[in-house]
Amino acid sequence: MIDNVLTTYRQPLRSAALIGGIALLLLLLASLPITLLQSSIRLSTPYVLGSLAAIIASRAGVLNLAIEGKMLLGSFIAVAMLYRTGLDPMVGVLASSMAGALLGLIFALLYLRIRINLIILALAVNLFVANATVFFMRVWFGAYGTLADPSIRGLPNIRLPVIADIPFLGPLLSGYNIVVYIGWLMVIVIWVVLYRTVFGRHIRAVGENKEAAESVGINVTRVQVFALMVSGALAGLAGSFLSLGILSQFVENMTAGRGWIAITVSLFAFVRPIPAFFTALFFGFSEALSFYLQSQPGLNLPPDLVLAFPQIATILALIAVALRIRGSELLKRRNFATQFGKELRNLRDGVFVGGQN
Amino acid sequence: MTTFRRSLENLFIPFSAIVLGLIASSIFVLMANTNPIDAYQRLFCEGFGPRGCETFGNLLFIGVSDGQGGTQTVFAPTYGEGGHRLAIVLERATPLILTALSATVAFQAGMFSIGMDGQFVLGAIVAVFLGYWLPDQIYLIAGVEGYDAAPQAMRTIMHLIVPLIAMSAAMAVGAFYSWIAGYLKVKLNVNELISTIILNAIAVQLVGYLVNFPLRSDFNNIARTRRIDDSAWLIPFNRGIFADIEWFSGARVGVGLLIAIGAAIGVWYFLWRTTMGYEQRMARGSSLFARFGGIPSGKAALRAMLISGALSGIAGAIAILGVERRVVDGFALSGTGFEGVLVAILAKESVLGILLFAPFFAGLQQGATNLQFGNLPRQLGGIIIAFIILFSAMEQYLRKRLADVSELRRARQRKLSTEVPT
Repeated sequence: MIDNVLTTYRQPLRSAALIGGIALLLLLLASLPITLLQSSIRLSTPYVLGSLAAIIASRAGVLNLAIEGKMLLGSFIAVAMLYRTGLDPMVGVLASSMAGALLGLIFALLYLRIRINLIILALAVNLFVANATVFFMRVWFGAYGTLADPSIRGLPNIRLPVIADIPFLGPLLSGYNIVVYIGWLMVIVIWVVLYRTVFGRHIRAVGENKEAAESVGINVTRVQVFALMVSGALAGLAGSFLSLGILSQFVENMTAGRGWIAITVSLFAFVRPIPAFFTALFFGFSEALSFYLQSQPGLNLPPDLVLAFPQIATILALIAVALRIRGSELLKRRNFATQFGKELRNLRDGVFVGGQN
Repeated sequence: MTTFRRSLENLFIPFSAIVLGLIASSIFVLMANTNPIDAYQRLFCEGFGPRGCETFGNLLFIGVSDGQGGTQTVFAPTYGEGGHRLAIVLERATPLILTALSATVAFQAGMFSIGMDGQFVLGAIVAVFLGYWLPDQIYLIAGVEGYDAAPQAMRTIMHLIVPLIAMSAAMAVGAFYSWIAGYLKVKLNVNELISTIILNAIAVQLVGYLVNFPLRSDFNNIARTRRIDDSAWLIPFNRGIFADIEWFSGARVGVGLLIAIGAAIGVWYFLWRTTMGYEQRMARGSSLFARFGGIPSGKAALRAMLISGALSGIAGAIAILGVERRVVDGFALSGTGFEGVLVAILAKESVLGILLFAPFFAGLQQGATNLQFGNLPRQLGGIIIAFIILFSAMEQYLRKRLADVSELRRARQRKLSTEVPT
């Protein structure tokens, strides 16, 4: 019964659910304090950039599990560049994305040339970066645990000229630092590259079927190397936000699993940039919420449990993705069965769909 | 002859990976303005040497004073004056062996689970709780003041029962936590690598909460739980049977090591000598193939995850009951579970390899931790291990290269031999 209703009115039901959901969400958001929303948007930046890094790599057919390491390298390089040099913070941002791209290149060489197992390679890279950053923090700067200095300036917040004056949306859209806006821009850039350029089509072709792509003359290695480098640069940018965007310091293992959450974000969005952006917003919200609840004096929630919010959200997201994939597979199978039944009936009735023999 | 050659090769590859890893890491030592040879001597002496070890040679032979003003040379690994560092290596290697076995069981079934960390810390917290709560209840029921007031017979029985219960509970909790990831993988096809990493983070936060709030025992600066009761303690060798052997002094290695070795033998037998183990290894290759062969691959994978979780759980229990005796805030971040994964990767998932690599890994970490040489931080150990893993993962490439070279040489020889008669 319900099945029939669901299949007959699928499209209207779907749009109704979508519109209702969005309306509910907006109502909910409007009732929340604006600082919480702002910090959600700010904190979603590493997830936006990190999930884009994961997306471009997996679109080229490489599961990039080293995003955590590339992010951490990015945050370290950003601070290391600015330490007592008095350089503009933008230099740090650029340097960290370049360092990420370089690590991506090394990763690509080790994976594509030497053919090291992808997972082992990723684990080794993550381990290496986690240790090397602390190693150099002590050897070069003599710092223990935290690398900070008054000479390191954080990224300034930018007030967007016209947008800032819009009543409700203004404060939500304006007043973030440059990396946040680069993140938003990158969502669009990656989308355009993937879906509106020849090179993007090549990337997707390589990810879909390497042999087929090779047979039509696409240089698979070059595409994958490029994708991994872009992926590394994006992850490095995400890292530079962590160290320069919030507190202007580097802390030992400061990514704290955000790279892995970013990979989950990309999976949840089915490896598409625009859904990934919204998923990242959700994760930024769950992180901001955990900080917000901690700072509420009346609630007195234990910090460790509240800090586990994003992780619990991640697990739930993973389950939701899996259920969705399974649902679509079941639907496909059912459609196939009905189609097949129809063909069988046609055969029995002597109706031929295909040619005339 | 061929088997001999193969076993030589199998030894040669990890050995050369270690040497190459050390050479590559020496670049970092040089960057810290330190002489790599001196640094490595210090590293290995701190890791594996006897007291007073200063050079690589001292790892094998060391001169000690004979009491009459002269010196005599003795075989270093058995020289235990003031305690030997190898004993501490064994202490550190015990949980590593278990977590590496845990990783191996999962990997062999095709589950790339690295949830050992979460299972390890949950096992530890369960063990510490039962380690003091259970004896308390027993004393309450028996009407005894505490361990010191208990009669000898009761103590003996408790020494047998309490650790057993605590370890079983830790195994059950670890198995359950691992089962979550396994179930998600088998039923819903959730990537187990990602889910276990997230589950690890959740477990670490949970244990941090438990240590800081419900189980916190006193107002010590660093939050910690109560110490386990003496009856729950797996008494180390240096307090128990080998109390008068100097070699063990200072090391808290004990029954746990025997359990770990027993588990290693058990895992080897299970994986390579039983039908279930065979099913599990088949589930890895191709689930479709396994299903056609009549093997329920999903069930085999789930079983592997349960065993893997139980092994990690007992590793956590042994780390508490045998060594730490209480959980201190930050214990959850020690990363023993993840180190087990690295050992399993280095050992190429062979049980014998784990028994050799776990002590090596533990010694390297210990040496790096105690490395107060120049301004080298202990993270050098992690860098070396990352390089060793990279080089040992290059095995296939190197083998192929070697095969190419010998093929080339053979071809050239063939050419020569055909050219000679003409």
